[in-house]
Amino acid sequence: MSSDADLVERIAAGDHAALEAAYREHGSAVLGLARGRLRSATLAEDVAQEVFTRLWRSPERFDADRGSLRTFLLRDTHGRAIDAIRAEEARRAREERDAERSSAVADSPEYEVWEAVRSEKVRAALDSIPERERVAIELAFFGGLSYRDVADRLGDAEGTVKSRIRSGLQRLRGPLLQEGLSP
Amino acid sequence: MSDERLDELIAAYALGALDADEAATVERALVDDPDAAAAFDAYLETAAALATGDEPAPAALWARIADETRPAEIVPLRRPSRVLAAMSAAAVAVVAVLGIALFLQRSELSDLRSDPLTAAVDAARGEEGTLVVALTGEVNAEVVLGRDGVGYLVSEDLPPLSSESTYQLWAIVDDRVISAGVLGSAPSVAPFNVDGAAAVDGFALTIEVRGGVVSSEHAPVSLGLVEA
Repeated sequence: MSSDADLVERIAAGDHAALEAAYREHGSAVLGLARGRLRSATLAEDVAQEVFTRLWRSPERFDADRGSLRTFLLRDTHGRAIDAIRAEEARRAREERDAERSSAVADSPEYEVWEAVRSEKVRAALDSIPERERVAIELAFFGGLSYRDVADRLGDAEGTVKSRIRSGLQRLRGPLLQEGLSP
Repeated sequence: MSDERLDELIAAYALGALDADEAATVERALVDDPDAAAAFDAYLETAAALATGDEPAPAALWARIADETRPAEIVPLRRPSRVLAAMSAAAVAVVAVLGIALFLQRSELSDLRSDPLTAAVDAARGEEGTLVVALTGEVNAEVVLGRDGVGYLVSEDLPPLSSESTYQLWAIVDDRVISAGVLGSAPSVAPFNVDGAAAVDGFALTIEVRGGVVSSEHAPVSLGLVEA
């Protein structure tokens, strides 16, 4: 049995220490991904809390044959972040707030807080890829823009921006994941 | 669509950089295509690494998770009907003495609409099959329970407890009382999860020691039964 399967089996048996071990191992990545998607420390913590609570309450959702526990948790984080974004958008629509509100998210103090926690190693990894790829990824992931908005902002073709995002992520995978950046 | 174009969309999707129409295309591909799913996992892991600082996951966040998850045991009652009757009687007696109004009015909840949990509650209310149960007694609250078992306790008048105490929600399901969640000392909107939502007969709210208990010895401060 893999260590992930063993850990989740302990969680299913009600071993709270096993859940804490999963949090220590993957909590930083889960929170980081949620921060990147939501650009709000508060919303990101809510999502991370929900992800680990769901793991505790429904551990049978994890299937070791379909991937690692980290992958499972990151997928759940991605899905919960989408839900949070949609809920936030629905709330905004209900309250009839003006369009300036959405663009303000990326400039919010919480986004700046998130910026501050980015590690030197991540900055170094970003600096190691071609500038056009780095800028596309930063605007999309850290700035919260769609690739179409990125293309519009940079004056590039949409297909070019998509291609840069993909190639940039592929280049980053090595430096980011092979140097132990992923706790 | 070519594999290369799909892969580009998957990369953008992992960063949250797709519009809704293209996101739906990718989501379908992830279900149908194992290679697409594997590519997505790889991009997602890279994105997470991009956003991960040097610091370990915060202890304060773990404390929140621990508070919510620690006592999630399911406890069969030895004599369920008697206990349920006693819980109901206690709550009814409290209502009779205090003369408290039975239902939280929605207008009272308007001030809570600024957080995402409240938005989730609002969304759940609009879903087909959602159960809404008014809890009454010393305090008033409302449970909104979706068919998928995800529920929310909503109340703005729960008196804050000391740091040594917590509110604990119990679901009454068939012949069992299930701990639905340890909600903390001052919840306003608290999510929980119950297996077998369709079989829930009611909810009870008790005050317990911090961390919650496996089986409550206390009369509920609020109780609500599902209308037949």
